[in-house]
Amino acid sequence: MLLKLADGVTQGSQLAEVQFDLISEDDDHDQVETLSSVLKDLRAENGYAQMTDVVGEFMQPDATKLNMSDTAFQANDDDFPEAVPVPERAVMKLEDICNQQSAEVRNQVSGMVPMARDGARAKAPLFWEVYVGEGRLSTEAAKLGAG
Amino acid sequence: MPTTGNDPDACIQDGGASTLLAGSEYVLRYLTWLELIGMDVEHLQFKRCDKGVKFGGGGESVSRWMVQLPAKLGDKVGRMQCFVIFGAAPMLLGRPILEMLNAAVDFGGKRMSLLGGDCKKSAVAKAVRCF
Repeated sequence: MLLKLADGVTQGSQLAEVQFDLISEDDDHDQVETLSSVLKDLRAENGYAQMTDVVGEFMQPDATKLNMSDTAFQANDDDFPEAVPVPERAVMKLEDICNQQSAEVRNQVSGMVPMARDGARAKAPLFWEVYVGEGRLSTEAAKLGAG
Repeated sequence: MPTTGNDPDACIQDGGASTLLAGSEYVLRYLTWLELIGMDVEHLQFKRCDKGVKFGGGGESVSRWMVQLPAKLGDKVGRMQCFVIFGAAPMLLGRPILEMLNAAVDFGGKRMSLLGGDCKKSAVAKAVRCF
């Protein structure tokens, strides 16, 4: 469920009068630092400056999406003479395939990381089962030993 | 990973999360927005921390910073301590915070009430929120 952290707020002054203050139990630190320290630590000073433009664009009344220019990272066609125009539908299909493969690889890698650690135990096989009707086991799951 | 749309202050109610957590990109985007509407973000309270975070699927991360994020939930203004992890994880409003806000969730009706506020429906990015 999606929420808004600052529902209906249009001016910073609307957040001035604090009525609740929720602190984590893990907070046992006294030293308070500022945004500048965080940006420096994250090496994000430049990124934060660029973000101002992006968020500013979003705040325009007629803006429907963030200003992520399609041409910002577009290669020059002259550098790729062998390139041929591809219908937009085919491009979108290719994008979908690439994104899907990328997600699959990412999931596989994140699953392998714990197994690669020293002393890691072998993972028990995981059976995904979809129950339909009376909840019969699928043939494949039964073959793999699911009871 | 669920999407929160383009709203700079969007967050996801996540009863499976153990805290209020957000990727640095979302936190900085929220702070940028606060700055643009006239808030003095330079004086928000940041603290260093070292909190491990585990995600479903075996992913792990460590939060090195926490920040007192200004918020307005329903008609109440306040601050909530948010743990910041590096990256683009959306803001997740975890269970302890939801408990402290007296959250009452009606999943069937896609409605939610916080801080004892009245429940009402409001469409936001294909989701429904209410206070």
